[in-house]
Amino acid sequence: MGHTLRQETFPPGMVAALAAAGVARRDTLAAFPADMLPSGRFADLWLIFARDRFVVLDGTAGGGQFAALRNEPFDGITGVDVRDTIGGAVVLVSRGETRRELVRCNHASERGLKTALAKFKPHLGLESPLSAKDDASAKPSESPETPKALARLSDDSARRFLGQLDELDEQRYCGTCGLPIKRDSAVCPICVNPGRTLLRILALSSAYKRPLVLLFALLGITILFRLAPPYIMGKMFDIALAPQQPSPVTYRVGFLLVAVGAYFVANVLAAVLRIWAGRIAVRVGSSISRDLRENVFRHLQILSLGYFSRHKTGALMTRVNGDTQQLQGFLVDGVQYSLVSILEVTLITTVLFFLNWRLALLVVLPAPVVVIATKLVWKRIMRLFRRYWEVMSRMSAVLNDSLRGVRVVKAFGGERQEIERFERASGNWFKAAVEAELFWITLTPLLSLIVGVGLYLVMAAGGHALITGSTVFGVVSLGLIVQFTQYLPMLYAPLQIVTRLNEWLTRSMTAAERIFEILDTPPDIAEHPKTVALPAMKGAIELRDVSFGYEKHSPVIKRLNLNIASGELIGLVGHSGAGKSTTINLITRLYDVDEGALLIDGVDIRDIRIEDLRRQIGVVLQETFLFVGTVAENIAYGRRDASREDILAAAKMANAHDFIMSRPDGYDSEVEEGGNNFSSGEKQRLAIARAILHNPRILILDEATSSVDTKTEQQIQQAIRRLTVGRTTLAIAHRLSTLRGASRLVVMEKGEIKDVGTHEELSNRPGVYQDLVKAHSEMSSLIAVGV
Amino acid sequence: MSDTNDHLVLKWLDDAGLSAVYDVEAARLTLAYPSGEKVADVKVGQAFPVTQPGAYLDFSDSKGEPVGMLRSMESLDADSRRAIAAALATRCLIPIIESVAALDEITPAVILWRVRTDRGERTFHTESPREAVRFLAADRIRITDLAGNLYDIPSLARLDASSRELLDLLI
Repeated sequence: MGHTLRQETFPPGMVAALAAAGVARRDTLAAFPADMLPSGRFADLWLIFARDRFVVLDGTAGGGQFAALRNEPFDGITGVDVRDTIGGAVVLVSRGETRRELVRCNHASERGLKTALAKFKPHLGLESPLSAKDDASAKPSESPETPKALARLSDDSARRFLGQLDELDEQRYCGTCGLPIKRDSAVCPICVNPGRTLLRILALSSAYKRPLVLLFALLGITILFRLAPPYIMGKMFDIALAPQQPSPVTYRVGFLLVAVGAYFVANVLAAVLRIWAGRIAVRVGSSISRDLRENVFRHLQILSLGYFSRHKTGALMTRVNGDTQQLQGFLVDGVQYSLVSILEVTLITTVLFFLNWRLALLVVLPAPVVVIATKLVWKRIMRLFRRYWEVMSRMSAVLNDSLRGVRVVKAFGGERQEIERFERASGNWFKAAVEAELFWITLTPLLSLIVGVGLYLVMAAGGHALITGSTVFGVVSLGLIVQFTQYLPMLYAPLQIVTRLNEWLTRSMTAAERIFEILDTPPDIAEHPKTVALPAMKGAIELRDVSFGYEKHSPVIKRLNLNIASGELIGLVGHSGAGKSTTINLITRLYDVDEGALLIDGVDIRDIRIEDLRRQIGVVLQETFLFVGTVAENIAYGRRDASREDILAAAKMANAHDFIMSRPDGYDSEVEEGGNNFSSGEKQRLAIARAILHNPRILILDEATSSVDTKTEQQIQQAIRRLTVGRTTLAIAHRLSTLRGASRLVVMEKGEIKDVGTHEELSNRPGVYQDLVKAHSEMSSLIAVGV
Repeated sequence: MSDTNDHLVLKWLDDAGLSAVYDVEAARLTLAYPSGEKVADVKVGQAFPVTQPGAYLDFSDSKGEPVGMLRSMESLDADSRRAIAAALATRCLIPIIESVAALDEITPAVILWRVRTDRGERTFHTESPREAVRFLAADRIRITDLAGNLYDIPSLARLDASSRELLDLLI
């Protein structure tokens, strides 16, 4: 798939095909890739946006040749719509009752095309621009009910659309290799530069320079000590046990004792140094990994909510835990084994050639076989173990599911079903484990057999030379053969590690790269250097022509205008999806507006110091989140300096004191994960207490009292009334009783304000609010009669 | 009570005499009842596209209001079945992989796939199978490439031997 092309980058074949279709190059704007014909077959298609038409070109024939498939002048078009499908989208053009498919495309092209059309339609006059009030050219040519496209885009519209091409939410491709980049990533997995990443890791390691230098020195010395015993053993045979020249027995015994002593000391020293190096590696590796993990977590805390909606929580947890752990494995074991292996292979080969280059040649003969065999079987081993890990994680998921949902399991009598589900998962795990382990068990002796070939060759050739006195292999002594037989296993084991080094390095560097990617992500909600300190807000809020969409091509808030006076209680009402929560998200600056401005006390929210903003805005959310800890800690969340009296007073005001005190541990009661040991009404009141203690100037209430009994609801309502006194309050209320206390109700629908007024005013005029009141009273009566 | 709760009850369409026409050009499905009444621009979806494709079809009108559900299209006439199948085909653009020509591990983290699908040949890149391949059922897999495009293999067992052998090395 290709990228969006701007007019100036159209290939000659495209320009020629457009000219043949009656479109001059100067009238073209951009070309968007698409990949499916109406028949559903793949094709290399391009949807061209021109100033007076859409043209679809087919470049499937290749050779830079294109043919026009569709030619749709704008004149008479009444709609251009993108229909979402599973796996892609279809673009349809309507002319009154008639509709034609223009082009269809896969996921990769869909996003760019959708945003492009969303930006293009206002220029075409098919949709009002979101905030271009003075754009005369963009007005529909006929009445708003039956919009018709302009026959031709004005110069101004064309210029502005070209400017908007930079804002498209397009599939990104690697600038070096052209590989698509995953949506939630900025890293090309092919172009990950292990060298550069390694340098960054080393930069992180700079705090541990001293222990690292010591570690590398120790590893080097360890290898020398590991190389010594086989050499000593050989000399022991040649001088003490089976000397080629006669020598005194006392000398031979003396040498034997010295050699055994040296052998022992070398081995002991090698072991001691290895332990020392290993301990340093564990400490340094774990420290670097800890630093990295904490850095990642710290950075995640400052990233905006938008980042978390683009990335799955599970994937982020894997990055914080899994990727840092993988990196730690590499730093602790990988670096050690790799360095030691490379050094060992190099040094042992040198020593062998130094001892007897002819025999050494025999030794290296099977080395390529070892390398190739390792590479070949490694793929299969990886696949088997991958499957093993996969089924194991599925089994864990079943276990996790079943234990967490144990209440539902019991309530629905699902024990038998759960046992069967677990047995199935466990059986799969058993099969995968047996397959992987059987392969491994069979493989290891086979590899040893291959490795043994070098040993047999040395023993046969060396032994033959020793017995016959042949000089084909130079001077061969028993000691030499012993040295070779001792060095050989030491050579082949690290050789297998070196063979897999590249893969190990790539995996670890990919993990490191994913970690760096988080660290390199700038927060969407950034604080610019010229922010204004607003330590004492009055709490006046103004939304001025505000538009916003979580996906840029589909705004959920459209040209919202609202003035809220300081201390006012505003109720936001409307059906689900009307944009109430999004409005709240903008006021709390969890997201920044796309267009327009949001002002607090007359200052643009983007210019207010984030710390001041967060300190003076309090929220009581529908989904109350309690952290693991004590009740007191949860109430004081957001105000760590709160005294015990403050906490008690806040809980009392929130009608939470009594139920807290009814627990044996009072305010020291432990809150379990997710607040599972508290009822939803209790959680609500703890959240209110938290907000009271926070003492915000602006209060956001996303109330949820529908799931509690009447008495609890009364207690919560009472607490809320106390909380709202003297603060600017925005309440998303599901119970109309709460809204009666509001000075104004703002009725929202499809991201727009439909009506504003008091409860009485709105109840008496037809509209969304009246419908809601009706639905509410019907529901109340249903509840009252126990339906 | 029944009036207000109509939206809570499934409406089943009677397949006797029901017919469907699909206008490929306009991507428009029209249902016609035996009474002659027609519902134009109908959207169709499958309730169980993986475990029971072609059954329990859900129809809604252009405004998203429910038209009704059809238990099976087996008893409809051949033209209507083809029309609904064509409409369903535009609802799902996921290519079905028919054979795998090559699977190359470019790096341990990137796999290159060369496949033949029901829509033509395709070459694409994925992450390692752990990330890119998901089992929808015991024998059915869905592959997501680096650009987020989806590919389905409805039955691993029904692939040719060489494709299976290639896949077997990976998943």
